[in-house]
Amino acid sequence: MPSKAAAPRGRAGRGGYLPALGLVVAAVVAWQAAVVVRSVPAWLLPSPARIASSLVADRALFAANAGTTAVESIAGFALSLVVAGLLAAAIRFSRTLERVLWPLLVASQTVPVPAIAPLLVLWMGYGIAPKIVVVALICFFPLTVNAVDGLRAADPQLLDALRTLGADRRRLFWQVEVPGALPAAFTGIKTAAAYAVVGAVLGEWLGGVRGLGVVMLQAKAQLLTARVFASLVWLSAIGVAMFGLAALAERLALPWYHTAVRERNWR
Amino acid sequence: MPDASAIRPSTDPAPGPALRCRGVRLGLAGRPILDGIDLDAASGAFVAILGPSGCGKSTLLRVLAGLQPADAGDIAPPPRVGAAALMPQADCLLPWLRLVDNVALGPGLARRPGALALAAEGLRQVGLADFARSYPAALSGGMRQRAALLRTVLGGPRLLLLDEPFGALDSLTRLDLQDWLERLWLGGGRPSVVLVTHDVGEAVRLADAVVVLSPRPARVVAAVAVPGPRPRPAHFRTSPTATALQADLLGALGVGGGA
Repeated sequence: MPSKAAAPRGRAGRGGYLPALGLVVAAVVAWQAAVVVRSVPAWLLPSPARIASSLVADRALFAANAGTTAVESIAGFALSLVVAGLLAAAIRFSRTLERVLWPLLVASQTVPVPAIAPLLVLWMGYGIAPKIVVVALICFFPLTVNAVDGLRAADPQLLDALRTLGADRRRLFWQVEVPGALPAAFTGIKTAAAYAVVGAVLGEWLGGVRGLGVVMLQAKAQLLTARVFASLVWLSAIGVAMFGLAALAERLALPWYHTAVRERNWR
Repeated sequence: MPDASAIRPSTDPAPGPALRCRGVRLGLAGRPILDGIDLDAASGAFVAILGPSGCGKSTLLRVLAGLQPADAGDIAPPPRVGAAALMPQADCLLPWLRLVDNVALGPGLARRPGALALAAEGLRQVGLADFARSYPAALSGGMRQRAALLRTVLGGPRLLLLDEPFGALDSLTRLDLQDWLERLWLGGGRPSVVLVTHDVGEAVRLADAVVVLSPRPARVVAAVAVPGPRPRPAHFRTSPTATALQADLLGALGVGGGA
């Protein structure tokens, strides 16, 4: 049985989030005190209390626009997931494709997405499409790299043994390489899920009529700084929710993996 | 031990193929590993290969499995991936499959009907029924090895290549499973078996013939037949024949004061 000291740490349900929450509360209190004591003008740095009241007062505005941002984030993430999966499989199956695609993949990361985004708006207009593409571009790299690494990690001895038992290439891929790649792939999935919302806001900043990014731009122009911060709270909530869903999916998809990790901690 | 014939590895009544190697040579990364191996196994025979650690025993099995082409020499029947089932030294279970599903993979890949039922019965026979629903990570090395052996055997291969299948077991379990493996082999249409081990007692207990390899690059330094009825009687391990053979084999390995 696990001793208390060896129990897994840092997870919910064991008071794992309490220290983080405590830090946030302390920071908020210090921030509020600093703003009040130093009489910082609200347009420069609003107090947490003002941000909270913006969250309440502007809730209809946020509710209407958060949905757009969330849809862009999720759609872009999903698009990227499909493309990354296909690409990783292609790289795994063909040495030629690996030699062609891998350097391009790495090189693509040196092109800043904010530099491409205006072009996307130029080509695709002010609708939701360019935002989805920006999100997909942001998510794409961590998804693909981790999936490819996961597929490469398959144990050659294990593959050989199953080949002698009669497994063909297709079965090895689906029964050994893909399940074995999932832990690494989920690292990419969680990273991308948290990043997705950044891409959505970036897309919205470059031109759009709806979304939290648009709300931020308009609030900033009107010096409604509290509303800008309140938008950030919403964005962060969407990002955390997407990360949480990805982490939940991981736990459900990989019961064996978490068993293995737990067992290691017990020894 | 329960009746091993309840999970006959194969329904094929013909014994496994005779195996004949002549002058098998192999170098890897410029280093000679196999230096002209001659090996004969009669149809349905159980052959043990003994040799010092790192002498190329495992490589020889990979060649026989068709995973690694030899540089020179003749092997009949020609190795082909899928014709011989290999159990590597590492247990190579899939961490994401429960034990019973891991074992069922063997008969499943060989397209035998009732793979899951076979796997469940096999696990019962090797004393792992209580762990059928566990993931491999929760089990000891010896338990995983037993499951891996089952997975390899239950596909019903005509040629079985076993690389130290009992290496991770405690000595009592090992003796039990040697008896079990013999019964399974006798009851299961007698596939031909090549067993790599460095346990001299195990080689004599199980094999019809024992081949001793030299340190790398591996050559055959001795090949002896093990006489005796099948299944081996209970006192076989300690019989004068067996003990004399073990002393001979230790001598051929360059250990102890054998002939």
